[in-house]
Amino acid sequence: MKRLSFFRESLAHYQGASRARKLVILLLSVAAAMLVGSVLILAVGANPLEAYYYMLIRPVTSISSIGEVAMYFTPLLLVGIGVAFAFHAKLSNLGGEGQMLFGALGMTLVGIPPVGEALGMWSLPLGILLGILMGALWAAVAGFFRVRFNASEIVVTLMLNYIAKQFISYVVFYPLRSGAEPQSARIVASLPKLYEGSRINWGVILALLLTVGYAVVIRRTRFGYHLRALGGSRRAAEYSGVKKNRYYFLALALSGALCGLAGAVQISGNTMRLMEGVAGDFGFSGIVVAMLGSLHPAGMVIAALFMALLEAGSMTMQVRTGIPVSFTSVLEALIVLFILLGMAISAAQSKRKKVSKT
Amino acid sequence: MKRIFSLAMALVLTLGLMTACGSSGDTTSSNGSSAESGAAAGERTTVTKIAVLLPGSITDESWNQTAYEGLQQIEAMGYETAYTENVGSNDMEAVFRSYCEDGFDFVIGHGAQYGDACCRVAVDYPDVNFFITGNAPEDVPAEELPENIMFADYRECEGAYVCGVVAGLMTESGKVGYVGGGNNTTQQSDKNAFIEGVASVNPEAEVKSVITGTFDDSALGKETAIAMMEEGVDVILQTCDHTGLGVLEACSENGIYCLGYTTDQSTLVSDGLCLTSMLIDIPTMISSQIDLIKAGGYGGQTFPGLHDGVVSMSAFSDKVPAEVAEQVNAIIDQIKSGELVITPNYSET
Amino acid sequence: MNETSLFSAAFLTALFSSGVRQSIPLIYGSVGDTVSERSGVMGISLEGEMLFGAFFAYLFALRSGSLWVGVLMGAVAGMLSSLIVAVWSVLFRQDQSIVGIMFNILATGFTNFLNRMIFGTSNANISIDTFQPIAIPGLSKIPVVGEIFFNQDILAYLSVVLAAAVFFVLRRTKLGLQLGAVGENPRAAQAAGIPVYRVRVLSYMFCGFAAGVAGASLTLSTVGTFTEAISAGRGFICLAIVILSRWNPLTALVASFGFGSIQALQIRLQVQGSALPYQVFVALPYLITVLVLALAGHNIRAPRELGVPFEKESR
Repeated sequence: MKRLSFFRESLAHYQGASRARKLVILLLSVAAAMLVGSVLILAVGANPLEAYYYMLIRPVTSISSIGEVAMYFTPLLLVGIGVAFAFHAKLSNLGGEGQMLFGALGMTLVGIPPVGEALGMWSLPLGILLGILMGALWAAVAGFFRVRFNASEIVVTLMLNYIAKQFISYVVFYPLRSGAEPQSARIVASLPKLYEGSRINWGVILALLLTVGYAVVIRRTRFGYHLRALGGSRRAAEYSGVKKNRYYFLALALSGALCGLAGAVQISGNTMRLMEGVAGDFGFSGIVVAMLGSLHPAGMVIAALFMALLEAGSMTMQVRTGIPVSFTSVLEALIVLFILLGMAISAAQSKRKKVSKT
Repeated sequence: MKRIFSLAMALVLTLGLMTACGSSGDTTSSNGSSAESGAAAGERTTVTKIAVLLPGSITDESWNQTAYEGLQQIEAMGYETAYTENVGSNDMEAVFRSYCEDGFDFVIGHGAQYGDACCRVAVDYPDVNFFITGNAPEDVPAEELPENIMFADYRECEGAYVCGVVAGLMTESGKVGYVGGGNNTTQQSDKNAFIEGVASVNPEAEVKSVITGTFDDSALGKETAIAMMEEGVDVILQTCDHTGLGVLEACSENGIYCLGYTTDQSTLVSDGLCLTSMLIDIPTMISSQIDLIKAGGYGGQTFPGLHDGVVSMSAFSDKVPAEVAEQVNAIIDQIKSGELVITPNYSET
Repeated sequence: MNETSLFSAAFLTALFSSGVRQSIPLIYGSVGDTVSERSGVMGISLEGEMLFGAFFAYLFALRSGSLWVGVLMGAVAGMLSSLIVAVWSVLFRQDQSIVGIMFNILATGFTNFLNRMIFGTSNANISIDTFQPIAIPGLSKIPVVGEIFFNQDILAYLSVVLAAAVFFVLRRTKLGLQLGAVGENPRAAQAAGIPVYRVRVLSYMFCGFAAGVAGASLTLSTVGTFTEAISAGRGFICLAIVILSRWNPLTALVASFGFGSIQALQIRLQVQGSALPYQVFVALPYLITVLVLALAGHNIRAPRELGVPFEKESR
């Protein structure tokens, strides 16, 4: 597990360090990020306190704004656990965007009339299933290239993003176009809401359940064990009879399946139509979730919540304070970078402590 | 086992947080908009705070920047304004809702792609007026469209048609070019109207068109224009924001005529090579909407164009001979008077 | 529409000289990334460094009136900004992909922010004169080839020099060996007395330097002004090129030229007029990259410790 050895170790150290100390270091790093951010906010002539209030607190003060956080949380978590499967096998899936787009296409194909009308409510579960399948198939292309040609999955998944984007652009412009605007028709059945008066929907529950599923698969099944063994040491894994190629292929396909689901949820819970750009930046920010959460299921839930808060919050901040979007993204990036720094420092601290003990 | 437990804890906490916050905030959100905007329910005849959603960046010297600068003029008239750039399809609804929650009583989506999300939001905020600069979603029956949205598919294609006429008259090689950024209704109808305009005055002329697939890659835009020049193209219309800036740069460098888009782009090109620009008058458009709102019963569909002054052409550069200018002005007058009707054509040619 | 022109000398000359022009930023980026990947650090953040390079190159060229000052400052900006990534991912051993992704977001936002602070919303009409092609006496007179390769601007020629120099250093010098050792087996390298961290940080800074020049080539030899997000994904293309070329700078040079040429071709195919939807053409360069990888991709072996944070052994 070389690639992730640091994360595993840091997590171990993290669990070893005193809880209070960890928390203090993390809070300090967030504070440091906010301090640096304040200087920049002052430079654009806004009030830092007000800006931070809208970024970090306002989004959790009403049900409708929490619903907006959830709109980011669901795809972030799904893509996060998706890429985490691949990371366990030491594979980098940078193609979350493309896989999401194909998942979205799957949902749309089943969801829009005439198929959607014929199926009624059933178009929702079937659409989600087709979305999962198409996401998995698109990732399986990368898996096939990796297994058959030993072609780097990093490059193939990245290139497949560009191709998927153009393919979706074609699809909404020609075969699925509904009306003048290049977008599909509206899907018939959307994800039911959890609360009326908010956009939060059952996608959240689905994502959380799948996180539990992820934990079980990775920790309790032969498949998960082999996957981790393969990520740890290819040779050792092969000695113990793990069919390397099969697992590479499966890990990527599974990864794509979850990204595909994220795409299906975007359609059925957010945009209701297929159009260009429905995948947003989740392909990349999902990787951040996986890494920030150290591939740990609970860690990823927390990381996804945090990232979602930042995304929704920076939107709120932009709207309320007039600070441009390009600037709020600088703040977001700063905060994540400082948290990484805090994680590194607290890991080093607890390690030093351990060394001094022995 | 311990880990599974900790995971379960995290889940419970997450859900707990969501429900707890949910129940406490329930009451404030439902009436938040009307309380903050101060408008009497159902009347919708006041405008104090105006917000605009833009698909791209405000420095593109084009579609988005025009809207941004127009908004600033509106602000100078005493309104409170706000804008959000780069609003992509997964953020649309969130941004609309944010503005409504914040008490904005006039929210504008600058582009037809915002229509569908706006329909969903408008139902929840009946006291807010919405304005979409594009068609209503065609597959939604007219009676299902919320009453508080005005769809204005302004006839940008009339300007593009005039650009086509200019290009058709000015080309010496008989080859003109169109560079587009991607596919949306505006781009498509501009392209088709441009081709139509060229053909109306110069049936032999050939229109070469390239869609670059990006609105941000100015270097690619420049190479695209160069590729066109190699084929003998000598007048180019671009409608692709940042990518288009590269096109203008190439025209400027190689002494090829170009046509400006949405804003007067003649300052970006040397020697008067920018023959004319089609202009979109955002302040006029917004302020005319404000008048309509104040008159009451705002909503529906409208198609402003050259006739209404929302679309217009900038002054011709000194490269345009007087007789060409005369001919073009005659066509502009024909469109204004309704003698010549340009119907937007959204299909791929 | 005359189909015969597709294979005429004039068409090919125009096609490939456009290919060369479009490959320049790719060459700088991929050669820089080759060096840092050899030492074990992946250049996910290439995109952001290019943006920093592009912006500062434009800014300084405009203010000083000298394109060379611009190129230099663009390179320095790329290098200094890459220090952030180096500190985070090498010294603090954070995962390179997350640091890179965050850095790219930071760079996009920050260059937009600076651009508006300094130039307001309109800098497009403050355009500068770009580098002009220099015909190399004698060589540029060779039919077709001369026009394509020997009538380019100075940054194009320098990119070839850079690729060759890096090839030489990697293959023939002690520095190159040390670099490779750090990427293959940092523990053994450390035992042999090679300062692993220093080598990684410096090689990554070199990557930032090259990415800065790549950005500078966009603003100073192509467009003449800075437009937001001008790198437009080229950093990621460089990553693909590095792997495709198997961490060999000279092959990277050829692969960049190939990619640039396909891009030039897809534009020209659209200009020629075609019944196919435009999306096919826009996707073409990426499709071909994937296919080439499939056909030529056997036995690609990355530096063993690529992307793996190295932790010094405590003594």
